[in-house]
Amino acid sequence: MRNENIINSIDVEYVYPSHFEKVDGTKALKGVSLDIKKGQFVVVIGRNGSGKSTYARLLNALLLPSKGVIYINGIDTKEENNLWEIRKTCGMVFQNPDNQIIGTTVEEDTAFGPENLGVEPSEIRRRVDASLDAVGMSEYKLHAPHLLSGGQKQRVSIAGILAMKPECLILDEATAMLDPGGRKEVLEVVHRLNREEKLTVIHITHHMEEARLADRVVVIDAGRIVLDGKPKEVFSNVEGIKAMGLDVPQVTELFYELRKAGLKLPEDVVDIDEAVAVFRRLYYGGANVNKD
Amino acid sequence: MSIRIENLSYVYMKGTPYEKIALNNINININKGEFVGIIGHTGSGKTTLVQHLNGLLKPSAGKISIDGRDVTGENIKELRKQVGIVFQYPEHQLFEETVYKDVAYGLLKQGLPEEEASRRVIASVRAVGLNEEILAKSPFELSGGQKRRVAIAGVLAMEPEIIVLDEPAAGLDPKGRSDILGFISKLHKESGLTIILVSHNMEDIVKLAERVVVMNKGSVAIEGKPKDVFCNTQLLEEIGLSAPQVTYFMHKLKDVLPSVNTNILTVDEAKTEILKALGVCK
Amino acid sequence: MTKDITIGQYIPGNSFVHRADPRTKILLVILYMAVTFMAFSYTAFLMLALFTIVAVIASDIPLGYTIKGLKPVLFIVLFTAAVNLFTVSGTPVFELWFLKITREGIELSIKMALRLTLLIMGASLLTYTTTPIALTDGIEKLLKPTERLGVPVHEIAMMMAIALRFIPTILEETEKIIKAQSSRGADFDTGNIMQKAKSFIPVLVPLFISAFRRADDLATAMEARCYRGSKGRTRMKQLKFTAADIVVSSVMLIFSAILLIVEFM
Repeated sequence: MRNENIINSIDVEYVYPSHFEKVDGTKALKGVSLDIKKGQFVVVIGRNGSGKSTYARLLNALLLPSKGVIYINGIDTKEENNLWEIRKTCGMVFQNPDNQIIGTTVEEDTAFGPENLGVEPSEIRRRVDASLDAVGMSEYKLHAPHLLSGGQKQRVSIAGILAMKPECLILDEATAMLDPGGRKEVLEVVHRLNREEKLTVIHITHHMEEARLADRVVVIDAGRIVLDGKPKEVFSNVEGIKAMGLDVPQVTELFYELRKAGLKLPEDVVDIDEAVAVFRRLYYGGANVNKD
Repeated sequence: MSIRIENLSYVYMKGTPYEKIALNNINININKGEFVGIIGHTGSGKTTLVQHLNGLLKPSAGKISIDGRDVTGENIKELRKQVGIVFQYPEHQLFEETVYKDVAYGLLKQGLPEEEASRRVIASVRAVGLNEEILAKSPFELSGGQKRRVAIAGVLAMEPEIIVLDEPAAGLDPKGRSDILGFISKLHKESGLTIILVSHNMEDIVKLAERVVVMNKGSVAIEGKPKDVFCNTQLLEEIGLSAPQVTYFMHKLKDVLPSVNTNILTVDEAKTEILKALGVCK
Repeated sequence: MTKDITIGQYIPGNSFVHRADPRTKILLVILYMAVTFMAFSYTAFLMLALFTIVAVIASDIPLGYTIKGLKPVLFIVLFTAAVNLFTVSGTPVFELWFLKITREGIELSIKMALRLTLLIMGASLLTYTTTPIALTDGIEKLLKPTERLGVPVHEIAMMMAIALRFIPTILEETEKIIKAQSSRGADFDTGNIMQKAKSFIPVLVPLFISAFRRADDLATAMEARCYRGSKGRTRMKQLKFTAADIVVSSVMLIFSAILLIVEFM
């Protein structure tokens, strides 16, 4: 299975064992097939309970598929011998910033992953410094984690994953508990890592506006992939997305409403400058109104 | 009930090396039946401010009066009956075996008779959009959104005249979010409650609040009608907040369509405005 | 409320004492304790007190801070002194009904109070100058030989480190839940002991639930970061003995020797 995909999932199903408080015995995932290319920035969107978080946990073998297979770099996640290789390859940042920092200082926490992997002390030091630098937290390296803001805590958690030298970073609703400032901080960091370090990023969220800059958007609803494509392609389906209880960017919604009112406007506009450019082209100064 | 906040200041850990001014000379008036939105990012002092309203924190200087009476002199239990506060992630406070018992907790503490308590429990569970079947269930077997509503019902059951909600929709998906905001708006319209909504989400505040207070570094930075506040995009950005996307769009669109108004906050308003500017009227 | 307790909190610094290896410091504190228990004469106590004060100053810890830190244990010190004051038999100096104070009692209670105060000051110097994580590392290394006897040394150290990490988080959470329940009419101050204890149920239940949720999340996060016990695990910070250790140890050893000579010769 040597190819350009870092993740191949084939017809994956997952059923929570009935003692879990979640949906007893019902399928959280009902046949998800998804390949993710190396270096892609993929945003996975879905409502609470849609199965998106379950899928993330399958990707680093915290859960194993009930049916179907997931390959990470060609390795089946069910192969127990490769468990640590898989977790090292797909590092994961979780939702609650308070519940995933283990160290009593920022740098101790960043070192935790490489320490578990048995990396040489001097190499750990190098990786810790580089990782904290990459997320812009170097000046806080001796701080106690509980005094940091939510966005800073999540950046520390990202540094902790980077220090394991992963190929893929999975953010499992890592922005859900942050305020807009914190969300922006975290997204800027992961976009930069994706651009500069060619890190594959899978960002799971229910905030639509976080999907605008992605290479690809995958919408999961009731355990199935319902939409998959470039942000523009996905967002142009305004009705479908709204029916699922999700949002589209305001500009896309405005264009949708204006189209309903008879204006001839494209379906796939997601950002402001693009929207203004469309108006400049079609309706400069209010002229050339086509009504049909 | 009207709230009057005069020259309120609050200092954390006074007299220690960690001393920090959390609130600095705040003056706000809130009228009876008003819906006020308080925005500001984390650490701006908004949560500290609302904790003064029911006596959880005592002012370091200045005073707060409710209907003309200074709250520091008030009986704290009476005060808390009048001013209900729903904290962030309120579902983390649930503790009883059944939803009924949890919602009734505050009422029984007040010594209300069983029938009255039961009437209020049912009314408040309905007000948050749940039905009575849920009362016999354990709060811990509910979904996240349901837990949140049950916790809010617990505060509503006290029948406060002023209700403060601190980020009531935090962490919910868009549908859960609009459900919660939907019943808050309904509560305001139907029962004339005074509502104070603390949030960092502009879109929510725009939809609901009649007046907006923007907090920054422990002070009131801007105050006024949503239109006036959010159209001041420059000041908002300096504080690290932002206006709704559609407001920015209308600002830029003015270059292309000079006749559009820029004080637009929602998609609907923008639609009407653009159609008007293009001379396309329905 | 909880923030007023300064005893035992690490204070960053770069003194000799700060730089010394935690293992050295732990062993020296044990020696210090032993010496404190061997001191009986006022001369010895005076020497100990001077030495402790000098040590605090040399560690760049504000003396006032150390003394303020003694506040929470003041009650224990006074209580111990009081017990000695009234129970030691000897030459009576004062008698009232069944209370009898003896000269020996006064002397012993003064010395007991001094001894406890010095012990606490000395021991807290260890925690003032050593980060919690270095402390747990030190304990782990010192206990290493007991691993052969089946003591789960790594696990104990890990548990200590996690506890230290989460104490502030859980204190914050407790405060928040108390505020939230007070807003719903909870009352923690009135009633008899049973009622008071019962009134804390609305705080304790959510606190336990959240602690379990945290534990669960943390375990998942640790697993996702490849934690699998001590096997094959390395550490970024290697403990190393340096010049600072030699200095600190020599000072302490010389002082102990002098004190014992004065006391027993």
